[in-house]
Amino acid sequence: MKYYYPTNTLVTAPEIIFFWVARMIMAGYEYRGEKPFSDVYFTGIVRDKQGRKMSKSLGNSPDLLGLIDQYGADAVRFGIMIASPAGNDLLFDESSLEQGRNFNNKLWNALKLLKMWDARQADLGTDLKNDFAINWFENRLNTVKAEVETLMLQFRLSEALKIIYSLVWDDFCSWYLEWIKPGFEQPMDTAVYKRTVVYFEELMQLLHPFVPFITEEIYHLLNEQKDDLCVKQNQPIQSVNAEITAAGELLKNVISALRDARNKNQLKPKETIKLHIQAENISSYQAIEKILAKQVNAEETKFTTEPIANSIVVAIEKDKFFIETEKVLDATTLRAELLKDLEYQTKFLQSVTIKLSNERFVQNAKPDVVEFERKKQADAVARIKTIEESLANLN
Amino acid sequence: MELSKNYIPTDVEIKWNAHWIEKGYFNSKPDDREPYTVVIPPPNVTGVLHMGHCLNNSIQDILVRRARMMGKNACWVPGTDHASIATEAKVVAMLRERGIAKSSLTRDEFLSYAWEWKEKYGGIILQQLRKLGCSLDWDRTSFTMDPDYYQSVIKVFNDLFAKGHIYRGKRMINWDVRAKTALSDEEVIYKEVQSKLYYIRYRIDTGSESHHEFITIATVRPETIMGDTAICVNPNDDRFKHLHGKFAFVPLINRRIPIIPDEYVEIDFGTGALKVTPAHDINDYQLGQKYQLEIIDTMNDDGTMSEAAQIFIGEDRFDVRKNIIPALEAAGNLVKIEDYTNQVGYSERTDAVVESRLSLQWWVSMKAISEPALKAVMDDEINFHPTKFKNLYRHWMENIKDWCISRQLWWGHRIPAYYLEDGSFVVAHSLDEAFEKFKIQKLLWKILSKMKIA
Repeated sequence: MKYYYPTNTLVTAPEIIFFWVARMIMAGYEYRGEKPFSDVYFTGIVRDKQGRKMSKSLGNSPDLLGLIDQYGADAVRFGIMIASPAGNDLLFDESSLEQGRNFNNKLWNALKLLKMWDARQADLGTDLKNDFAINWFENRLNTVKAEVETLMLQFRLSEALKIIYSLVWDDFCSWYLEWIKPGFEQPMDTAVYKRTVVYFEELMQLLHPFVPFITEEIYHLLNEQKDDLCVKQNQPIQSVNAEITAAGELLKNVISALRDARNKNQLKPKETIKLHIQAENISSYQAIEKILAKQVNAEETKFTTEPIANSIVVAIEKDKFFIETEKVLDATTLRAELLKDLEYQTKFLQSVTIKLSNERFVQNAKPDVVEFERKKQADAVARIKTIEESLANLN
Repeated sequence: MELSKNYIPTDVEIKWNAHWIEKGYFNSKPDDREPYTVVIPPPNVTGVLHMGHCLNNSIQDILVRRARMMGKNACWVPGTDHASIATEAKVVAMLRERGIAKSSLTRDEFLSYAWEWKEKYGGIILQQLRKLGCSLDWDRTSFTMDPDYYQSVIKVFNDLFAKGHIYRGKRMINWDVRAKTALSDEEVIYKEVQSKLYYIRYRIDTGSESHHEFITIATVRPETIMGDTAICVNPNDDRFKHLHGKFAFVPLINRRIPIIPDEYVEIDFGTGALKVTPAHDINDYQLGQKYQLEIIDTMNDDGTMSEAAQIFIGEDRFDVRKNIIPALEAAGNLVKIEDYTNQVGYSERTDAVVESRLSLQWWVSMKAISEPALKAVMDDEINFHPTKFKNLYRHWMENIKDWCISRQLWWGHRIPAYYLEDGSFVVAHSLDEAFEKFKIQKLLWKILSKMKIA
């Protein structure tokens, strides 16, 4: 008793606060002269899609065991936790379980991809210390590990799950794996592969408390393991490099914008481009240039101080990108696209300007809300300028 | 190695559950590490996995698994609650299916059936939690009626009784006619109901055959009039000043009851005259104490009218409510009927309409024992997440009433009170100790009476 009492946490539904919680506390003080536990966490009330409390009489309680058989325990645990903010009510819907199942399959597919690379390893001599993708993911991993630690201390479990989900689905699968992917039928560098396996293992560890079964399974499929994930101790959290984090954000934004521009101009993925970058701060692109070029299929990237004629222009914040392509740009289509965009941006600017000239709004709204509107206005002005420049360029 | 196209959970889950348990990963023994202990809110032994269990236990498992990976000695203790009312109901149903009535069994016979049910069907919920992946220390699985728990309960009862915090008393309680037991205030759920308000006139005893006078009361429970032992009016109400100290007759049974002036009655509420039924309403009971009124309990444990009701004996209270109206009408006592919305209490377990009844039960006096518990939470010795529950907790603790701990059931911890034929009792840990206590009591009486003579 002396070792285990007081216990740490009591997790309970709010309905029994008087039946149980209060009386346990009273008993603890009366008979041990000490509190029985340090923290009490009250779960939210589970409701159906229509917001009604789940009850036998309403017949809106799902068959839990049936759902576990259908989706698996991990998907059920995931579905419940993803839908429950701390202390608030949980609106249960089977779509959360589908999301859980999809997440399982996402992890499984990532595993299969790694296994494919495993078979194609070769020592290509990559310097891991200077590899952007490796460094960037290490940063993201440690950032999220620190955030999770804070959230768990505050009993914000479902928010913790959400950021881990995003780290896995977006950062790891959508970005990192893409950036380290070897070319078609090319070998995968052993050092990069081994490090990737380490990252995947860390992700499994981060996820394990939430979805224990699939994470233990994947852990053992990644490598011959001497231990079990269940009792593996967490790695200490490393410090985070803010510059690398910022560079990663920039890289993601630029890739997305340029890909979008390629699509809008009907450029097929196989078609290469020449990329010209007019940047305020060239050094911000040094680390990410190589990956950027590969991801937008640019055969070369150059830095420029002048706009490039006959190109597709993309503006991101204060930087401009000029996409030069062999494909004959259909000037008519381009112009039509630009004019459509111009019309939209002009209308948008109008509505923001009207809002900002409304004295009552400016006086009564919170300062950061007003500031946000002003930024929207400034961005719209900049975009319109770029479009007008592009139109001029076409001639 | 060939991986399947999609992830298939079933076999994976069975495999790892078996492996983790075989390795003893969830077991805990004290060692040098910092402990992280969680005690499961024990689900009812009758329980089957539902959403609430899922949410609650997923959260606990997340916390425990994480602690285990952070160098802590994680110990999550499983167990089930014997759930007196719920389990007794299940066992009675099982017996009914076999054609056995509970009333034909002794306590011991019933209990052996109950244990049989428990061994066979009880605790399925724990298997289901295992399926969910809960990392519970299965070696520590407890049941609230295990011998050591049982002994603790008896010990605490004796201790609180000796300290004067437990007492036996006749008080108004919430009675569940279906489960046939007392319920605590927390087990009563109030719902808004469309009722009817019945205006009934009682004939005044004027002492004269020719002079007829009536006083009218209003009630939503006409079936209780057979328990009336007084009518109350406000002392300043001019309409009734001439009736102070006079008597009226209860319709249909013609019991002669006094008309008593008391401030409790409001002049402008209802008819201004209140029928007083001390055995069936808490406020009436208090008036009854004040004026030394007779207490007539017209209801049986199962909600049917008792012998004391004189009429409609053995009939269900709600049938009587319906059938008494034509009788009152025929007797000339029914004045009118109105629609009326009121709050009615229902048993949380059986959904039966709760009856307020006078009953001899065991109580825990809560005031003293609640003080350190209130302080601990308000001072953040114990943290509530989210903090909004602190207010709810404080409000309840500051208005705490004594707790009715006795239930008229067989399945559960038996109250350790031992009775002699004359009704006197001692509270003890065992039959042997009870004998000893009685002996001492007898000896003391002998000595005291000898002293009196001397």
